[in-house]
Amino acid sequence: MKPYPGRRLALPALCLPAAAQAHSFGKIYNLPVPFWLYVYGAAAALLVSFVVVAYFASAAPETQERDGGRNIGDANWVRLLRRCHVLTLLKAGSAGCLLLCIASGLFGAANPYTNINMTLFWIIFVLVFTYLTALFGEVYVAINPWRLLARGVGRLWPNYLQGRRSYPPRLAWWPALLLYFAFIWIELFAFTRPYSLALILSAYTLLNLAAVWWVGEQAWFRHGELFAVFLHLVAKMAPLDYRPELQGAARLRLRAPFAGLLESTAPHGTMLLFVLFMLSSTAFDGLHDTAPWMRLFWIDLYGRLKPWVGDNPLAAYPILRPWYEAWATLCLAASPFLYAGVYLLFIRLSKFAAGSVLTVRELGLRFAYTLLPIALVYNITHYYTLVLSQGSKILSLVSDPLGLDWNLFGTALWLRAPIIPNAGTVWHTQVGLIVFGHVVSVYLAHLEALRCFPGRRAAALSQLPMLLLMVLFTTFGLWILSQPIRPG
Amino acid sequence: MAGGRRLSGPESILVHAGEVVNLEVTSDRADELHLHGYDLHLQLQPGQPGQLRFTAVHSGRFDFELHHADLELGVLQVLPQ
Repeated sequence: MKPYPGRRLALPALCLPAAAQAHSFGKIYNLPVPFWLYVYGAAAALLVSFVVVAYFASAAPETQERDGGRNIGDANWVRLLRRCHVLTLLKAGSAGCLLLCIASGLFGAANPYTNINMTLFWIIFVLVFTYLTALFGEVYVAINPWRLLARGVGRLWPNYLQGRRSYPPRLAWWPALLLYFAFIWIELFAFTRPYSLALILSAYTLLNLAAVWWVGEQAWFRHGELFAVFLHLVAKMAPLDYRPELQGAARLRLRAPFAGLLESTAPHGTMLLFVLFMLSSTAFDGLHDTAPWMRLFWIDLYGRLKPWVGDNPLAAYPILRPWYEAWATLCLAASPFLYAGVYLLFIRLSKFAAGSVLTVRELGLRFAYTLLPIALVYNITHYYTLVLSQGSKILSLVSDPLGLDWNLFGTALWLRAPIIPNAGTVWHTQVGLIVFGHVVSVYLAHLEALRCFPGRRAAALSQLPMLLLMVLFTTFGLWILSQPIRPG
Repeated sequence: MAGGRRLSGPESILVHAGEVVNLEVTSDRADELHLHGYDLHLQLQPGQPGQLRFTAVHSGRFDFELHHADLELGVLQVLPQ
């Protein structure tokens, strides 16, 4: 009897059940977006893109710089926050959370769902704090736990924070990009447990302290510490612009949401790669859970390898598993470069359409940040249900952080059942968010075009290829959401 | 279920929200059936069919597994009404 594809597709999941999780931690209960909704979403993205273009082509004011926002560092409520020492509390909380993640991993329960460190790090810090940063700005620059630790060391050890040598300009943002890659790899393939997460965080802490000793605090937290670089980019979208290095009212500024993306441009090609990796890593995370992706390796490729590895899938699986992991790692590593190739191709078309004298490299850097809204909404659509179902568990976990049946604050039994929103609500939120991010990106890119190219006509022409690129990214994101998820 | 492997049964169950689901599992060893998301547990005695009966109120995609064998049995997909 000929085995039907569904049965064979399920093979990897059945052989290695522990490895069949969708994400590093926590279960995602989402159903694939139905095809009709996917088509509606893609059509809406295309339609609103043209609305934006039409808006700029007809009613748009001449190239006008946005006003610089409003300084609110001296507002009453900001003073009140300062009087309550909110920042000091946040700093203590941040350093405390890092230490708790390490300590609970080393000494607490081995079950990832009863030890607080998995939820605290993977859900609260990596996801929730990122979304909060998109709302409240770069608070992280003041409360970065690794920075606080380095400064603590600096108090005891004079000249530690200055570093031993100046930062080599050639390195640019490579350290952050490599660490980001390592982070995503760990997230998707390392299947961390409380204990291994504690070890990884300890190693990362030592790495940061050593790097500060080598190149100094300023350079390292600007180019190397991956969360600092990541959240710095996310914070550009926030309506609050927090700059602790400034004095007086200018320390806190209110601006239009996403307007911060146009206040600066990517300083280097490696920063462009970092931005593209924000897009491609999330796309990869979604893609590698889908049935088409599994079919690519376990059906198509396996079919060709049968003469070598044998016809029995159960026997072939252990041989192929390491190859599958190497293949997935390679795809992940290649993804930002693949995106960069596509992106620069469309930038080249843009340059051609506008007849610009600026180089492709220069234009590529100038438009890089306009992709960030798409990257943010991608991230939210992929993970926000995880925040609801697993993030809500933090309430019970704070009362029993080590998983030892404590009840420190009396909340140990709160929200035991996960919050599972209706699938229809989830679908519509996902598609709505993706289309929203797409519109913001298209709008920002058009504003940037008005600055780069002489005249409205050239700007409008330049945006036709960019529009196509963004519709491609958006449709691809929607397509991933609509794909059947692999069994298991 | 026998010898830590599945013998038969659907890998994927598709229902609509509001329907009553009856999940029947027989294992040759004592084990615990766990349905994720709904967080329902069922103790299985060796050789005796165990039944997990519930109304599918949440829509979504939920794995069910055997805890001791650490085996993913399949997935329950509940479409919204």
